[in-house]
Amino acid sequence: MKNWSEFAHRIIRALILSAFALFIMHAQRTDALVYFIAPRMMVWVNFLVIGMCVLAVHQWYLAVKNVLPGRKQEQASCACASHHHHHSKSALIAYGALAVPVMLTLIFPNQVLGSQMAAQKGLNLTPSSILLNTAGKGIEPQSGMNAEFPSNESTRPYANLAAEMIHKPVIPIPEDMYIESLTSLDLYRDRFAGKKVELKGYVYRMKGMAENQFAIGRFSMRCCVADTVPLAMMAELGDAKEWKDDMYVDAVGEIELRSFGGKSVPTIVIKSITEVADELPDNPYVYQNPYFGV
Amino acid sequence: MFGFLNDFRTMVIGILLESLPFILIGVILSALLQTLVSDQTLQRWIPRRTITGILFGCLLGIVFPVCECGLIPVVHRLIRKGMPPYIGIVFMMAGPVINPVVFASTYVAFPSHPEIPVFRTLLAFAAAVIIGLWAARVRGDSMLRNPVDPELVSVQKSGHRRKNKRQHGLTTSRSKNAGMAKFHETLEHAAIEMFDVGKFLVLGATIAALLQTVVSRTWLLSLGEGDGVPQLFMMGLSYVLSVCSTADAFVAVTFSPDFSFGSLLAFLVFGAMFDIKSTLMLLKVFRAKTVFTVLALSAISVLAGSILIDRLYYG
Repeated sequence: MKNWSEFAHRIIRALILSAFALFIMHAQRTDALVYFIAPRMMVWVNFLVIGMCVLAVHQWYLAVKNVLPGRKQEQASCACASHHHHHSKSALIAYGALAVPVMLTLIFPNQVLGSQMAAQKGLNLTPSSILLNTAGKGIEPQSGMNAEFPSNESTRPYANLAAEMIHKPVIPIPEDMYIESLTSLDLYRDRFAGKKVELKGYVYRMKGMAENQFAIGRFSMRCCVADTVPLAMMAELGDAKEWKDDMYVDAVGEIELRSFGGKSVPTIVIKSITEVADELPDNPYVYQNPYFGV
Repeated sequence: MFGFLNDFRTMVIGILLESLPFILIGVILSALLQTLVSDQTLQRWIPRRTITGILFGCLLGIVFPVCECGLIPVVHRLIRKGMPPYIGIVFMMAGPVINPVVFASTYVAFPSHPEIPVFRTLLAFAAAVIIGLWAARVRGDSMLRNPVDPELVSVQKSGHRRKNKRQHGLTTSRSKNAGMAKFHETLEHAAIEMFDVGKFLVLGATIAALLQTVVSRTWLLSLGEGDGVPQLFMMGLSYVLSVCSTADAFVAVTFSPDFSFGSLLAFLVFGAMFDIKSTLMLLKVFRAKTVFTVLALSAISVLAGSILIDRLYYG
């Protein structure tokens, strides 16, 4: 009798572990893992899949081996004090708890964090303020390599990027330099006022914005969705209402400075804007470029 | 409504995928400790005197550089194998901060403020020592949810010894079998413990995701701008956000224009010591009274420390 209860426990554990591992593998194959976790954490997720598979297969093996008739019973169960309660209600709770996320993943489709989350987290419209604060000494003009864009040790890469960007007829904001480009634009916003820029991103809104305003941006991620920050640029357009939250748009316009929430915020005054629903980015989030400033 | 459900689901799965690999490392380490290191060997390694015990607990994180998720199974196992619970608590509190991985990621997040990782380590150290001094005065067993039954431990020990003797008697042909048995035992332990810790992790991730999707940050920030103490506010925020200690420095940076460095430090130290996930997982090992006393102690010491740093260093 005890053997059968142990058999059942092992089978349930094996089933849940396999289901988890299968979900992750499936997500990996369909490129859906990026919805949840940053590429640089993938090594860990692979390790998790392998580990869960090993544990699941082992549980199957023990379960079957122990009930096969005519075999010597393997004494794999242990006498350690903490495991008494495993063959009881609390074990069921544990199985239930781990089965819930598996269900969640199976029932609902994968989707990127949306405008509601962006509003909840609060848009970051001035990414350089972080940089300025952590860069320390400020960026007093130095008779250094670049008089046009004063910089210190830690803001130099942004100054170089700004010097590159400012001479382009239409400044692009490329996917792999999204965070860096927006930071540079914001850091030297006075210089960029009046320049033309092309920006792709999702439409977000925030409390306090005027009727003709919204924001265009992306979620930036470090490790996983828990640490995402919605990074965006303010946008101004006459018929702003036509552009609904979560639309993916391609906007071209001139940069002007507006005051929002007590800060001077670079704003793109839109000349032309189109919805590009068929050109959604492969990866819903943007990440720091690891080669930036190296 | 549908958007909310989607964000919530993405958040839960994201937090789980980030934490589970480290839980897995934790349960494997814990299972290996159980099968390969005997209680006697372990106890020989553990310092007897309180002060050295606390120092030992503080610095153990340098050897086991895992975040709080990975630590819980290891600490639980060490205590069951006879390590005094107060050292376990100190390790649990200091480990997620005083370790090389976390130091490095904090250093990277604050490029030209190398003092931040140093202060973070020092503040965590101070808080862990204070907690350790309190915990060392309480009788060990009364802190645990399931006290280690001394009789059971001794039965287990003598059982093991008897088994060993028998094995020694039966020549070496059986040693391969013993190795296999150990292998099976390790994997079985790891699988069982994965579920044991997993349920607390899922619950914690669910609450954290719910709060992140329901409570707006602007509303939270408006709370922080009031007359209240910003350090206290940042501590509450880090508790709710439940970001892993290896990544939280990058989250803390995003608050830097609005908050002082002292409050960021409070976020970094308190959040690594306690968050929703880890509180639930701690409740699996320790009594509620112990967990909440430690929570209060660490809150008070981190608060005092961060205010002090703000006044003296950044003031």
